[in-house]
Amino acid sequence: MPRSDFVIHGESVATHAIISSECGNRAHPGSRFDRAFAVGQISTSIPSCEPTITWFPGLVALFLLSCALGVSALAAPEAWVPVRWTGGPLELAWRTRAKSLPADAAVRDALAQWYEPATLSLLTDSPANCLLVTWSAPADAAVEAEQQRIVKVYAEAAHKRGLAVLGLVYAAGDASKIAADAARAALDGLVLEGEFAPEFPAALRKAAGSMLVIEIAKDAALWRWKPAPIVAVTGVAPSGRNLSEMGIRGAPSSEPWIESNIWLVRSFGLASPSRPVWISSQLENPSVIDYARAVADAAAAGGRWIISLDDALRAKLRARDASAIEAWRSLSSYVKFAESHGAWHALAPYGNVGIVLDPAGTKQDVDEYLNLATRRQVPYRLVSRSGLNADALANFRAFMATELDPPSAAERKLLEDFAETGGLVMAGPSWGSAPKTEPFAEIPIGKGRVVVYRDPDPETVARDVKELLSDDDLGVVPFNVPSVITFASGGDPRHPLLVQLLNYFDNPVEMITLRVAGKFRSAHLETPEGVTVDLPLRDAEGRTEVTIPKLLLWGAVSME
Amino acid sequence: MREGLTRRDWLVLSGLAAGAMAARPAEGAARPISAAPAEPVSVAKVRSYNEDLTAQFRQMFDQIGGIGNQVKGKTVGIKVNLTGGGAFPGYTSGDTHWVHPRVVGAVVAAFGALGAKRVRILEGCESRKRSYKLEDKLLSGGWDVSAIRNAAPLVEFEETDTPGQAKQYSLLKVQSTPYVFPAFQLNHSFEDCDFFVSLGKMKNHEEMGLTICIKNLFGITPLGVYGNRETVFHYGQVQAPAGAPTELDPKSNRYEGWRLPRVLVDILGARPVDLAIADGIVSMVGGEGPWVLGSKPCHPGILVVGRNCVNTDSVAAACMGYNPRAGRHEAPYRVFKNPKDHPPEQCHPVDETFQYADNMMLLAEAAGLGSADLTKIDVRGMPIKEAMFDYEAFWKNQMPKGQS
Repeated sequence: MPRSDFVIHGESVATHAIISSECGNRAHPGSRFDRAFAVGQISTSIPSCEPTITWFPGLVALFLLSCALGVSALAAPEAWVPVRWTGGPLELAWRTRAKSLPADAAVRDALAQWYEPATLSLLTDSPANCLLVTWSAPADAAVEAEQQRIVKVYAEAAHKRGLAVLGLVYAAGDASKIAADAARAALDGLVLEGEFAPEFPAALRKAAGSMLVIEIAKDAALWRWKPAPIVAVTGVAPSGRNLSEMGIRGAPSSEPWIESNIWLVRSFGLASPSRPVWISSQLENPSVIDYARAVADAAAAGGRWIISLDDALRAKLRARDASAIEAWRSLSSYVKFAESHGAWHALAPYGNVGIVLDPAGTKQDVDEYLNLATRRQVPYRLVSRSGLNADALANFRAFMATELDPPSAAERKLLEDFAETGGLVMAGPSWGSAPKTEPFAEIPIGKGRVVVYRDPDPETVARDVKELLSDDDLGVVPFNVPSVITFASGGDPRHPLLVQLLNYFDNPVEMITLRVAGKFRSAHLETPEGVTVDLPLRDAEGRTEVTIPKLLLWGAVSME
Repeated sequence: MREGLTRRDWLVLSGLAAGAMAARPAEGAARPISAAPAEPVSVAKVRSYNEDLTAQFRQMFDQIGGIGNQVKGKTVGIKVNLTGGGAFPGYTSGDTHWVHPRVVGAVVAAFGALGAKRVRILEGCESRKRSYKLEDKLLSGGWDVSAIRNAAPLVEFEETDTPGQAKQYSLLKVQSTPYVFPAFQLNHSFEDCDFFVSLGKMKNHEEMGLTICIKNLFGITPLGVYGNRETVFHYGQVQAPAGAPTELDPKSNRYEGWRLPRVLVDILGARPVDLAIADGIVSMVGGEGPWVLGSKPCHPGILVVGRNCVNTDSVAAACMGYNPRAGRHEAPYRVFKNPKDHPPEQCHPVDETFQYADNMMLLAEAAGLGSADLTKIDVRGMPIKEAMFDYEAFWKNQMPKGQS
């Protein structure tokens, strides 16, 4: 029986159906009770985010029963909080082959012994509930067999704690054997990490049957529209640096170089049904704040970072080093904060600027458009090219349509009509009338205009849209955010406007101002560090301004 | 620098007999030193922006003879330095390359207390956004705009890259003998003010060596007229657009180190400064903003205030450890440039990576705008020697132990 199922008393209930919800792309159970509750929803195939009271007593009974038997309920896949938990003899063999074996003998020893039961106690107060363990890699058969024997025992102990266990597959092999071995070890799924020929994942999926197989994709575009219970994608290590620190002579208006995955997580937001998004990135010599930033960066738009502790920290954790335990607690507190704000991720992105995403598109620079629009604080919403129609455009003030290259006759008519009514269309040279020397030409159409670029580049377009639109058209305008990325969501008549802010520098930012179109009654700031404060509102010529006195790493301003 | 006198000699002598070092004018400034005015300059050591800066400025204004009569019932225009954007990690732009908002707030409060009818904060925002305001630029630096607005009875903010509240630009002629431009078109606020203040930052400049109060004036030339200051003023690659005053000799030297200091003196001649304030409480060395490679923040803890902009910059330069009469091949006017980062025509000669800039204070002195001779300037408050923070040594990591 695949371990992707919900186990109670040794029996299982099929849970491979993923919650299909318009409320967001993941559930956020805050406690074991909540997780059981969430699983209960799945097992009964209720496609809703809203708790259903009629099921409540039965679920409570199930939960209490499972507690009495000392077996914790396994969370459903959409509630999995993944942590890279590699180790054992196969991990050492793989690292030796990859020439990435730690130099420190104590660290090597910690990796080798990682699947001692004691390491599970590190997860006692952690929201991490899904372990990615070393499962398959090219090595001596004896080493692999020993690894799988150790992992099988470890997985059994993990399951008793309500933890899901996924086996990492580092290289292609005998798909049938890998899947069969995983099933025997009662793993909850397999995760492919590395380079694989296209046929291998398909073969493994076929062999795995109902067991989850997750590919950590290097190319996000391939998975933007593909159905999958969980999307995992290689991201960047979130960071921010001034160009001068990188030896680059910038311009006076240059902003710091920021590596972020917020745009990447958002780029999966158009697929239906929505899917949990996991970001895989390894941090280099991370500090405690680097870990927290990686968690926040993935979580801001509703994703999850595959928690990846560096080897040295894990060795210290195994040795119960106090500073390491504190670092782990700190990281966990950010994960808890993220997981306890699932309602945020149910909010639709806010933005008056539309960006067209083409499921059939092959242009490589679309990722850069999304990245730089996010970086330049452009509040945008994605629109699928296939979903372009008058209704879809009605709520926008501007449209970045450079990906429509060229637009079809129907799309062109649609965009011209949009401009006629006052909208701004930003188009590539295939629109026609591109200038010969200037970067772009503004062509008035009705009450609006089409801006045609000679040679659009994402950096320029992202900057220009902010200058071509008024603050009212942009809707949310942040000030003093060179090291910060903002992400706005909600703001419709039924939901508060939520503006999340993430600082990519280690130093706090003081006096960040948000200027928001419209009138609001209240603004509330919340941070993972425990700050919860009402922010005074200022009237700014019909708009509302609030100032955040200090932002350490991550904060969210909720405005009603 | 006078022959036989090293920079080290200058540092030793400063505050003692430094002003006695009458030096040759900057190369290219072939005019004789005229009877340039010399007025009192006040120097103070101020460790932090959290100190009572309003009281500090009131005291410094008194030390230079008082400004109440000139300010009471008048419109005061303050050109603040808000160069570029960005920040060093752990610092705000106001700490290092903009003037600090608390300095601006304190100065506004001091003018308010002295009875100014109106105080206008002036700066170009360098934004293409039509509705962009100076207040937006201040917010982008993390300023508390409301606090400044409320620091005096009537405080206005004017974006000077545009005509602003006026229908057209004002034409201001260079009142001294012009070097490059005979006049400039400027935002009306530079004409419509009774008392003009240049509130600059005491920092280096990548090409000009220093940015203090004279260099601060570069930003009063409106982008709305000149389009691109670099091509028009720095390099002279294009002429000022039709309708704007054209340069006197379009065939004059295009080299930035020759041209720009003279343009700066022309701007000062067009809009003379009534009060110069140099903010060096926190600052930076090695450039005018964090985008300059090798630049870094520093904490000099210095304020300098004077009636004459040239006098004030000269004293401020001395407080930075520089000889205010230094020549083009001496610090801070001997400028390192990486040829890879600069247009070939700016590397002069092409195989030389050390460039020069002429000393704008000596050029201004030669134009009769103010003396750069410390022997003629009455320095009040803290002596230069006691206030001095050696920028060059800090930049080169050569600060004496305990002072870095």
